[in-house]
Amino acid sequence: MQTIANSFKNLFLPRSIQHHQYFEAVLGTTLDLRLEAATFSLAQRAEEAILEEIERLELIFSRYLPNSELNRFLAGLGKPLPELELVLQTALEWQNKSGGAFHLGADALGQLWKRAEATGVRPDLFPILEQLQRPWLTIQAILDSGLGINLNAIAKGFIADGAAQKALANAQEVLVNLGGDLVHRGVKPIQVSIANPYSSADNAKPLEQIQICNQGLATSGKTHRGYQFPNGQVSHLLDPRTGQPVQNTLAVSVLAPNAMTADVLATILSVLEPKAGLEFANTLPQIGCCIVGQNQIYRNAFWDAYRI
Amino acid sequence: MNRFSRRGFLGRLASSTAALMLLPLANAKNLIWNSKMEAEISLELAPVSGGRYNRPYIAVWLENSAGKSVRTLAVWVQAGKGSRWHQDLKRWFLGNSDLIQALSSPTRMPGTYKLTWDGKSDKGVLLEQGEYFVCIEAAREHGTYQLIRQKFSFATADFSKVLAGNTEIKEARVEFRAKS
Repeated sequence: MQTIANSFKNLFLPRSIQHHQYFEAVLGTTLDLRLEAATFSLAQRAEEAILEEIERLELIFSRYLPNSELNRFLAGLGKPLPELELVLQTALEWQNKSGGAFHLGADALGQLWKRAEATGVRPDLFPILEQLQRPWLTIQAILDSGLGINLNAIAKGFIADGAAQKALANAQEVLVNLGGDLVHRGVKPIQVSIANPYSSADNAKPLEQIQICNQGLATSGKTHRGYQFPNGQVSHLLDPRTGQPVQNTLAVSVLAPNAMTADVLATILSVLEPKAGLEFANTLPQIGCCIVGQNQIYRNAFWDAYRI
Repeated sequence: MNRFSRRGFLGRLASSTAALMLLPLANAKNLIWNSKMEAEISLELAPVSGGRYNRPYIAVWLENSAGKSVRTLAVWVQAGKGSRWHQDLKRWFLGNSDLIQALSSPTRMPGTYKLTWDGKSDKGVLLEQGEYFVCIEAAREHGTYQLIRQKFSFATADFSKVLAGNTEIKEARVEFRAKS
């Protein structure tokens, strides 16, 4: 009788629908959305809120859009608005906490490598390195350096977080995956695969799977991008302390309370030696990491607790 | 698809009879796939406009020279409401379990995909060298249905060939080469 009563009750429980969308060409990458909402129209409203928020934040953080808030700030056209200021401050904090393994000015090194790729000659990094090694303590220091910065290693996570937040007004479960950096908001754990670091094929067997809930997850590695040289491809990830491409790690995945933290830490742990990276992660609360080194995979206890 | 269709049965009957008759010849001819070789199928989607666009439903699979599906490499479909229409599509029932798995990866390029085939069947058995059809299906709800299907010889010689695109797939390429 109990079962019959229960199934009868289930008829009247609020039903929810799952909504899944996959977009190309959002922030120069893909956008994978998974939503759970009471009705299809609520799910659609949540989707619209996500897309609108991404567009709004792109106008703030883009380096490609000439009139973006970031470009206007770098051109000296005024103080940054609160969201830009928040991300710049957070970036500076990570820059100092990581001992320069993450650096806002690292983009200038990237530009040198990009130019070198065209000529085939490895670049002279010294003048830029000298500027990066000076302490950057305030937002003003960014302008004083005269270096163009980009927020690629942190803003994508911030945008995913912000977009997911906007969807919560209409959806209970939200997954926003911006080209591999993702955030889940809700109470139902969700399985996520970690891309195979040894193959760039889309049907390659995943490295492993983890189950996340109300967390952010980001992966960094050289699978999809790199600078091309006659003697081989060089990782697109540079060590801001030396200007050299990262050699120690093939890929790094980071689990954190939000996508912004996961995003910036994935970059930091890719630059640090694997063991130093593991130690650094363990000094931080609620951070899981999986570091694929040249010969070994390193994971901390927090990561292992979420592994399937 | 339908393992027990009459046509399939008759076809198998005919081919097994033929195989029996030609057994000595067939044995000499039908070499197993060289496990040092692999095929790579890459495709580039045709952007709908300048900006953001939905990824179409996409399936990529291999058929043997008799037209029987032997290996599915990808089935990408958005689950959820509206997914009923996908059931009309060829690949949907293969039930590829990773089609709805979320993936964390380094930032991926939009609209470009790459799949490798190691010469194995869906059951994980190395197939014979020979001719196979590369099939790339793309479709949209309330949109077009597109199929690229072209035969290639996967034997010993390397090759790299471009397949003409359609409204959904700008271009596809099949490459056969030593494993990297």
